[in-house]
Amino acid sequence: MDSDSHIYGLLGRIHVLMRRTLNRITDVEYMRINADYTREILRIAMGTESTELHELCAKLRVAMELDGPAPAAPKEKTFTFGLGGRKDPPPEEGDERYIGTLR
Amino acid sequence: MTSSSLLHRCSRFVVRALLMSALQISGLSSAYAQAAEPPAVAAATEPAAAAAVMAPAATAPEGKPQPRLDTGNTAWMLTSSALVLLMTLPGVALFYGGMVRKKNVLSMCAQIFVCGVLVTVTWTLLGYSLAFRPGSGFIGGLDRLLLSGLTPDGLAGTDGANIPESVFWMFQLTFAIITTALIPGAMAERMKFSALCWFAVLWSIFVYAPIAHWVWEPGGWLATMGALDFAGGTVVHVNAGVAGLVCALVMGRRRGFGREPMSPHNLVLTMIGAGLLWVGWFGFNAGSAVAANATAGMAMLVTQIATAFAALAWMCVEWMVRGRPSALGIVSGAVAGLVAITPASGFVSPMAAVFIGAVSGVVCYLGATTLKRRFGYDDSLDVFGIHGIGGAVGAFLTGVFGVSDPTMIGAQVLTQMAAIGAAALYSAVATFLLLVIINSMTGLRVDEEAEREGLDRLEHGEHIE
Repeated sequence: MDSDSHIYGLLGRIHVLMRRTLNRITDVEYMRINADYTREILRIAMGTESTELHELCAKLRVAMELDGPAPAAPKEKTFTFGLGGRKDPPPEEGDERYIGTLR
Repeated sequence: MTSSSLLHRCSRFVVRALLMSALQISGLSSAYAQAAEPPAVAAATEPAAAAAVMAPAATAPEGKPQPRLDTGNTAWMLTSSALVLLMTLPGVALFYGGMVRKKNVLSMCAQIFVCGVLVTVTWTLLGYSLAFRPGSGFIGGLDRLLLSGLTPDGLAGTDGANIPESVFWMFQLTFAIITTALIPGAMAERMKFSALCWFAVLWSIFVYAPIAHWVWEPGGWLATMGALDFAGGTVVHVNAGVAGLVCALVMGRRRGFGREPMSPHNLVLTMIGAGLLWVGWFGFNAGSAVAANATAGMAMLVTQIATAFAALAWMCVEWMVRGRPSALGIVSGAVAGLVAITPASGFVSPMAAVFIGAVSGVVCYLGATTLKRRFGYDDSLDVFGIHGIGGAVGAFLTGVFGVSDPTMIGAQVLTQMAAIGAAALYSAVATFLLLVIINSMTGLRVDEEAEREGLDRLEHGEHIE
């Protein structure tokens, strides 16, 4: 699943376009946590003629794994070299390292 | 005061300013005509620690050789001015632009660019006069209002440098621009563009110009006290860092800060920006000698050394603490070293630069990570953590390493601390007041929808894919 910031970005843009095209208000926070609600909103959105909205829906489906999780990539064995010599790789931090801090 | 009446007053001021400048065009035209005559000269001034504007040729005392324009110094200062502008456009724009989320990168770059535009306007109208013309100890005079009296044959600079005042004006303008342009990094991804425009205009006049006058104009009260600040540790970095912290506190955190990751969108841009900053900083520090001389050469050397040691120190600390060195950490360490050596660059030895660089790398790492987490403020791009803290460390250590007589170190350190404290206090209070005023005029912060959608789309109608 993609990072929260990416998903919230998509949800926000869908929220704006839904309001513009259908005058319909969506609950962004609830969409983030409830897949059924999100699927229903996407179904409504796909009924519009907005190609931008369609593209965003497709991206959100992938980002939130609404059609099931993507196959996991094979894990490579990697090594890093700390000042103390060879170490086991540190735990993957991903985007979580940017929560509340940049550096 | 309502925003409409304020706007009305501002428009009246602008119209009046344009009329005055139109009246001056005839005067300037005749001045440029005179420039075709044999090279202009200016009177020598008393020795001054800081860059000072010299008296016009007409006031040269009899019997004293009249100084002539120094072409070598002038060539170097022209180059330095371009280098320092390069630090902001595109240096800071890229450095900051790479660290924000993708939906805000154009907004960030636009904010930096418009700082360059607006500060040039305020510097032309009155900023230069308030900062670098003799006046009281607290503020300069108004004799260069709208650049009145700035002629091609006027010389400026430290005693004996003899560069045109126009070049001195341009060099100092680039400092005003970059100082103002550093601050938007602290309130990135949430400030209204209109509010930022007002902030750049007002801050450059009411905060930057007075502090520059205190420290760099020979009659300024901190200069008189003996405060050392070769290229702007206090005037530029402490000032911008503290202002950034106040802005971050007043604006509040970004939505989702501390709960969701706010990943930098393209750190390659940040690396390029940091590279431009490093190169441009030679104009910043070596250019602050206001001459092509030995001081400039040593300033360039210590700048390089301190930067490398700071980057190395940050990298090592991060490697030890987190198990791997980040690219952003290495460039952040380099910027921390550049910041810290800035006030000391004209005064210290290479070994002192090693120490200043290493200390600043470690302290700024703590400032941008531990300190920020401890207090929970959302200084988006660590303006305070790097510029505020790095500037204060550099200014303090200038008192330790910047004096030749060891018995004077204690007194000099106290003077440095007073200068840091005065600049920080004034910057904090004045910035806060300006934010209150701007908030009543336009509001400071974008609405929730704009923040979620991204400032690029809703503030500028653009976006990148």
